[in-house]
Amino acid sequence: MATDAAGDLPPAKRLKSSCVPPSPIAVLEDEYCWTHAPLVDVYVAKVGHKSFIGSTMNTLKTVLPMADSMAHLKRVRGDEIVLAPVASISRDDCIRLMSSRLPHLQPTLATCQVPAVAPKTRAQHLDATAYWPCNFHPVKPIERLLAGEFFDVEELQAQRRRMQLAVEAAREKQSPVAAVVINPRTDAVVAVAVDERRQNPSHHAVMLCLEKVAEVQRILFRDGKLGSRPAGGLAAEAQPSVDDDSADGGVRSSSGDDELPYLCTGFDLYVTREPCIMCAMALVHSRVRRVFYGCCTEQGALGSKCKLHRQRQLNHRYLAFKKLMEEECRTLEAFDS
Amino acid sequence: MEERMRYCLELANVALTFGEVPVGCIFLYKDEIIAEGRNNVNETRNATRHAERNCIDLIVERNENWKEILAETTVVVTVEPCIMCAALLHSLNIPKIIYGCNNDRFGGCGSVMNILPFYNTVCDITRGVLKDEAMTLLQTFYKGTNPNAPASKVKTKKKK
Repeated sequence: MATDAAGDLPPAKRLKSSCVPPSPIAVLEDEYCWTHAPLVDVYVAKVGHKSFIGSTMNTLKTVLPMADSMAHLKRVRGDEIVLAPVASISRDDCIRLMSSRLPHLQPTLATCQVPAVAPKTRAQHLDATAYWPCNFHPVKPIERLLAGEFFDVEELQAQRRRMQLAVEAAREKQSPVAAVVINPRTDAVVAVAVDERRQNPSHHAVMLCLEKVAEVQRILFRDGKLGSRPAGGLAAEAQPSVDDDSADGGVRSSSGDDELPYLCTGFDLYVTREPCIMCAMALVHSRVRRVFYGCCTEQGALGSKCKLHRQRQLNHRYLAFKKLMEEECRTLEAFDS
Repeated sequence: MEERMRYCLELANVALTFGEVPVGCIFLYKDEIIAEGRNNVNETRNATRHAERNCIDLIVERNENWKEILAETTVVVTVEPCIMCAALLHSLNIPKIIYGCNNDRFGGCGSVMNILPFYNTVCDITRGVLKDEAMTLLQTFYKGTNPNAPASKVKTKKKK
């Protein structure tokens, strides 16, 4: 467990201290997750002399342009040049092209296994370049997410505090699941709910939390505390959005203080177990910023069955983190019946 | 079935007049309407208040044996259920869904995802009943602008 001792140390020393809680694990798109690059065969030929690389490359641009799907490959390695994927052209045609249009290539044609997809992380790049040199542009937030260095100690401690609220709510009501919605800018608890699906099939803890957030906002708007935005506007859930927050799914910090609350924009949800498809989609509709959960579930939609929070076709995406206080959350399974 | 769908379209039209996404829905049990509903997301400030969910709440409120009833209920809805609603319907073993137009933004019966395989159930899904009428209603809605949505943030080039 976290202690407050780290708070007295200068920032630089905090990270290495032993009381840093473990970071929850980011659930990212599959493209960030592979550890061994899928491979594909390509034809490779050598140039007679390196001084011919430039002219050969120029000719290749017109006679054998690289498909977009192979754009991650560097075409040249030493004196070797990638001609084309084996699947895209027959060996005979390739040799014919070489003899008619590419005079500086040696006439022997080799095949070579190269990465079939672009490396998206440093680790993937390291793996991929063992086969063939690849283009790679690291994305800093992704690297920090993968390394478990996305949050500082204060954030990690706050996360555990918030999940503890959920765990306690579940224990108090003897429910197998509980969820908490937090406004991270103020650290305020916006809603707490436990699973009540035996009374109503849609009353999962997450859905009830969203209901309570809506209730709070109805009261605030009704009492005129939050300006006079009309209630009868066009629906949020159906509005196509291209704004930054939804596109990056909360990698950067969310909206400023000047904005009126709008559904769960800028809010984080903590739930003791992985949400099902219904709840995960309800969180998309509600435009939540981040979701933290304790243990994974077989029917879970944030990593187990699918990764609904990162579906590109949807108008909002959010970040999901798993295994926050996994052990404590798992003990709630005792309330399952 | 067109007659039933026409009734759903009327419900959708009511939603539209209240400034809601025009989706209407009825639940049929032994060929009788046991619940009808429409979207009321804006009124409730709850993005999960879709027509199908509102119907289910009514049925649960009115019937102690809702589980058995729902497992023999046909859902008629003007627009393909979103992923959330489709998940709810499949988890309740709803045997039959009839819908009008596709839901390209959120559809859970194939348009964005087909989530039926994630559930251990069978569901007979009929698509396209009076789909043009349902789509026209949606288009009428989307022609307007959403005064509730936050100002769209124009993408600016990042300084490095």
